[in-house]
Amino acid sequence: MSHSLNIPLIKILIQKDWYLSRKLLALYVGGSIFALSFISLGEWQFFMGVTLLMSMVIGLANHLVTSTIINERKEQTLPFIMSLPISPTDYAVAKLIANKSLFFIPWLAILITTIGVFTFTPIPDGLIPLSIIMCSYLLLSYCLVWAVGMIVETEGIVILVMVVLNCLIGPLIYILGSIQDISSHFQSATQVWNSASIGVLLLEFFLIIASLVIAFYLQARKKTFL
Amino acid sequence: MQNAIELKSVSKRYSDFYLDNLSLQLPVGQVMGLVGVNGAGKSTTLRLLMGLIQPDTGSVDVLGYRLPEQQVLAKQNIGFASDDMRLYKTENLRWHMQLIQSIFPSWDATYAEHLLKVFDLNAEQKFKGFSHGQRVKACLLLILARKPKLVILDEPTTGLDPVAREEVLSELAEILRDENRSVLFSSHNTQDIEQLSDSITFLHKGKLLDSQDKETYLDRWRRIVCTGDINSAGLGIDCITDIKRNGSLNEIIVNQYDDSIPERLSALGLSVSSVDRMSLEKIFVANVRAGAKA
Repeated sequence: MSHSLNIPLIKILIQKDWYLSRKLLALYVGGSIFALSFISLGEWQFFMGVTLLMSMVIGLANHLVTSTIINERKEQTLPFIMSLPISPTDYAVAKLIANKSLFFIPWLAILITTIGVFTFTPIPDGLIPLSIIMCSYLLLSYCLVWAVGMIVETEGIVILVMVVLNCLIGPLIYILGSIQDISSHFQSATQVWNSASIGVLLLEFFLIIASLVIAFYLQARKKTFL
Repeated sequence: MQNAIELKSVSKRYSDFYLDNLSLQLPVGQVMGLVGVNGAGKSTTLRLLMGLIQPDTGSVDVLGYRLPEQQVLAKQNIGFASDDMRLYKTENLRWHMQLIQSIFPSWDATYAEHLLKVFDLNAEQKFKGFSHGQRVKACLLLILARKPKLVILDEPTTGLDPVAREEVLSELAEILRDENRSVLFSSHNTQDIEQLSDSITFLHKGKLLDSQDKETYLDRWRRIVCTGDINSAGLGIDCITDIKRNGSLNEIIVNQYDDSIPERLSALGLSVSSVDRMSLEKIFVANVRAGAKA
């Protein structure tokens, strides 16, 4: 199905997804700001804030995929969208840009704010690499869930992938904690980036790119779109 | 005459369904009714025409564009609505109208307001509060107000109450006055098809049973009631679709009627008591039964 992209309509579809997700976005960004507001006030506030912050980012990721991709099929608004002058590739591009921007902008804002909070409060700066790796894992999880949501048409599989990826957060923290080159710097006054932490981060970004490429490849090979 | 739709030897295989070598033409300005039971292949055909399914073999051309490759160009001038199509429930109809208006320069705002009144729709009402009939009418409004050259409707009147159905049919009849607009619609309701269409296409189990202009098609079919001892094998009439016997009373359905048939039946010793034209509904049932026996 080779053709040039219908850019004006892709822009309209991106705006549409932003408009339809505006309340969702406000809810999760508000929750994240609330979590960051008390994260540096003490030990239990730190753990509670980190838990709430991660929950907000995970919630935003899963909710976005559900509302903009899964529900479009489940609530049968997809036939309406596909009756417009777009191809399945246009649809995939619109969903990619809309979803990534909807998630990436608040994700980046939360990441920068988290680094800021860690830098300007008594929380050890040595935790910054771990925080960035974990935030990147949440971005990777979101991209994987998005890719599965685009490729498969079964809601159950998408939910299963969401659950599995969320369950991997604990083991990932455990594994990072057991890597001496990373965990030995957690209590440092300055952040330390070495080959171990940079390697994990690069692996995450490689998987992000791979998930997007595979999603587009399989989308383009679909012979039945609806 | 140029064709708005042209399918040539199109096949599509699924695990439980096979659309078998379908060839079909819809000339510009014509209205075609697509008839068939559930699973006949109507929705698959309509989705092929929207470029949403890639055929395994054959070619699909719509408004002069090859699908699915050129579906973006074709869909600029296609208005498509199906009974499983929904709008965004958290938004109102006005928002949807503005969305469509931003995409299609051909959007006729005056006509859209006219349709709001005719269909008795509240544009400020959120879609989640709409009844089924209101949903169907809202979808029709969104496609009709952009004045497409080709309208494709999948079961547009299914589930509508008589009033809503009449409103929808009369508005469809109105748009059909435009001689350059072509319409293809599928329906279980043979009355709608009989009322609106210029030609009729029958699908059954993925196969094309018939495709012909309505008058010729309806004229081909007759229900002949006769009495006497009947032996279908010995009748020598190929176009008999069905025979029902009740004692000595026989009901014969023929699908290629000509005036010689009653005389031939009389010559075989049968007493013909009536020869009646058939409604599309009766033809539909006879066709499906014949397809099931085949």
